[in-house]
Amino acid sequence: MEKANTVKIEEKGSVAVVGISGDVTGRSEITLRSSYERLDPEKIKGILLKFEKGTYFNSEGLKVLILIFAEARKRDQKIAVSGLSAHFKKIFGMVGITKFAEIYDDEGQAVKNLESFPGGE
Amino acid sequence: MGEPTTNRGSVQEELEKRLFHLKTLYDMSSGLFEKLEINAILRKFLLMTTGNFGVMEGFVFLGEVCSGEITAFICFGFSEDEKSLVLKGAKDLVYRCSGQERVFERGDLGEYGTAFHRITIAVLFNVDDRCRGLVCLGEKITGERYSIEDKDLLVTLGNNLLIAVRNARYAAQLKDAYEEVSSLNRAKDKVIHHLSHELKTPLSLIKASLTLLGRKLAAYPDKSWEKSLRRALKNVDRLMAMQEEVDDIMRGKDVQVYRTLNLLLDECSDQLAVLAENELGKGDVADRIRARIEDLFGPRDQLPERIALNALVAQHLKELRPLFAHREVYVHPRLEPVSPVLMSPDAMGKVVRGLIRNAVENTPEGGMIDVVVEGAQEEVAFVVRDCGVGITKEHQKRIFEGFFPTQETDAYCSGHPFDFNAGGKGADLLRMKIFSERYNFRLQMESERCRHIPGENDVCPGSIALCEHCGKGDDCARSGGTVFKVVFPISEAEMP
Repeated sequence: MEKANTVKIEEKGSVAVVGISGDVTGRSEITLRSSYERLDPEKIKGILLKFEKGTYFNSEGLKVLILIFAEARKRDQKIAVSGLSAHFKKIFGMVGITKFAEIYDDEGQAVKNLESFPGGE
Repeated sequence: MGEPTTNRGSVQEELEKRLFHLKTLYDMSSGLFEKLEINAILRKFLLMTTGNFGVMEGFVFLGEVCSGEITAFICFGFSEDEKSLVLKGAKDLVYRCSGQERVFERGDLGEYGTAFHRITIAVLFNVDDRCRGLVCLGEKITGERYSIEDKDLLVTLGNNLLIAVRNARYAAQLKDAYEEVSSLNRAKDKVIHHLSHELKTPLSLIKASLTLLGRKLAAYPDKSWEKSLRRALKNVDRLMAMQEEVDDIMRGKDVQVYRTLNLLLDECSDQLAVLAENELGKGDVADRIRARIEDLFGPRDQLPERIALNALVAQHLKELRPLFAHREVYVHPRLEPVSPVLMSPDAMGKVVRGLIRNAVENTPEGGMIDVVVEGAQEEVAFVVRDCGVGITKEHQKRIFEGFFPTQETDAYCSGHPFDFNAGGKGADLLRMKIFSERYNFRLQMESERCRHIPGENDVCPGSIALCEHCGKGDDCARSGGTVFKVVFPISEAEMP
C-alpha cells in the first residue's frame, strides 16, 4: 500500500530543509512540485530533501525528482538529499540523480555544505 | 583479494539495477491500466521510462495512419521551438517506416531533423491497423550507452504501452458508441411518443365513426355489412390497445392536453348544455364529453393504494374467463389471503390481465394454467404458471425488451385475443417491466421450451389432442412451460 506524502519545510537562512514522508511515486508530483514552488528562489539557494527512513522511490517518482532538480539547477539552487537507504543511494547514482544532487547521511553536514554554496550564507 | 570484492560489488549493483527495472516493469503493467485517457497513459509511461533509465529528454507520439492526424504527443526536456521540430520528425519517421516495428539507434535518426540529434534510441510500434506509435529517449544523464538489456526492457515497456493505448482506444470507441446509441434512443423515444400521441385522437374518431355508421346501417334490412364492420372495429380496438401499451411505456408526465380540454369544457359547459337540450333534447352532453376527455386524455398515473391481491386477481379472472370461454384451457386458481400490497390498481389490473392472457395464448387446447397468489414472510407473490410451449433460451434474454414477439409474425393465428398463438407486438411484457420499476415490484420469468419443439421455428399444433408426442395434459405439462412471478415487498406495517 502506497504511503501518501506529507511535507514539512524549515528555512535556515538561505537553506530550506524539506522533510518528506511517504513513498515517492508519480502521485507525489503535485505535492513535491508545489512544495518546491513555495521556496523563494531569490532567497533559498540550497535545498535539502530529507526523506524519512525506508522511503520507497519508483521510476516515476525519480523522474519527478529529476525534473525538479533540473529546474533548481536553472535557478542556481543547490540540492542535497538525505535519508536514503543503501539500495536507493545506488539507484540515484545509476539514474544520474547524483549529477544534480549530493547525497548525505548526516543532515547537519548537508546543511553546512549547502550554506557554503556560493549564494548561500 | 581486491578483484573478487570488486566483482561482488558489480554483481550486487547489477542485481539492484535489475531489481529496479523489474519493479518499473511491474509498476508499468499495473499503473498504465488504471487509466483510460490516452494523454494520461502516455505521460505516465514517459515519466516511468525516463525515470527508469535516468533520461532528461524523451517523447511519445501516436499518429493515425490514414488521416495523418496526430493522436497524441507528450514530451519532456524540449523547448517549445524544439517540440515542433521533434513533432515534424516523428511524423516523418512514423509514416516513412509505416508497418515496421523496430528499434532505431542514434545513427538511424539523423535524417529526421536537428531535434532528433538529441534522441539516442527510438522504438516504433503499431497500436492497431489505424494507429502507429513512436517512443524516443535522449541520452542517459550518466552518459552511459543503452545496453542490450536496456533495449529489451524498452521494447517490453513499449508493449505495455501498446496494450494500454489499445484498451483506451477501445474504451473511447465504446463510449462514443454508447453516446451515439443513447442519443438515437432519445430521438426514437421522442418519435414514438409523438406518433403514439398523434394516433390517439384519430383512432378514437375512427372508432366513434364506425360505431355511428353501424347504428345508421342497422336501419337497413341488408345485414351483409355487419361482418366487415365488426372486423374493422376489432382491428381499431387492437390498434387502440397497442397505442395504449406504447403510451404506458413512453408516456411522460405531460398532461397538458387533458388540462387544456378540461379548462375549455369548464368555460363553456353551460353553453354546451343549452345547445344540446335545444338541438338534441339531451342535457347530459357536457358530462358525456367530460367523461370522454377523461377516458382519452386523463392522467392514468394513479397513486398507489393498498390492494388485496387475492381479491383483485379473483375479480380480474372472473372478468376474463368469458373472453377465453371458446378455449379448452383449464385455469386453476389458488388465491391465498395475503397482506395488502401498495400498488396502482390500474397498473396492477394490466399486469394481472396481461399475464393471464399471455398464459392462455401460449397454452394449447387441453393445457393447464395455475394462477396463484401466495405470501411469504416479507413478500407477496402473484404467479402465473402455464404448461405452454415455453420460450427458447435465446428469446428469454430479450423477452422484456418490448416489441419482441417470440414467434415469427407469419406464424401467428388470427390475432383474436386469447386464441392460441394469438400473438401481439410483445409490448405488454415491456410495459409490465416498466411498471415494475415505477411501482417497485420484481418481475421474474422462468421458462422451459417444450422439448418436442426446441427450435424457434418449430411449431406446436395448438392442441394436445393433435400433438404426436403428448397423449394427455400431464405429458404436455411435463414437456415445458413458463412461469411469470410478480413479487411485491410488504411494508413493515403490513407484515403479519
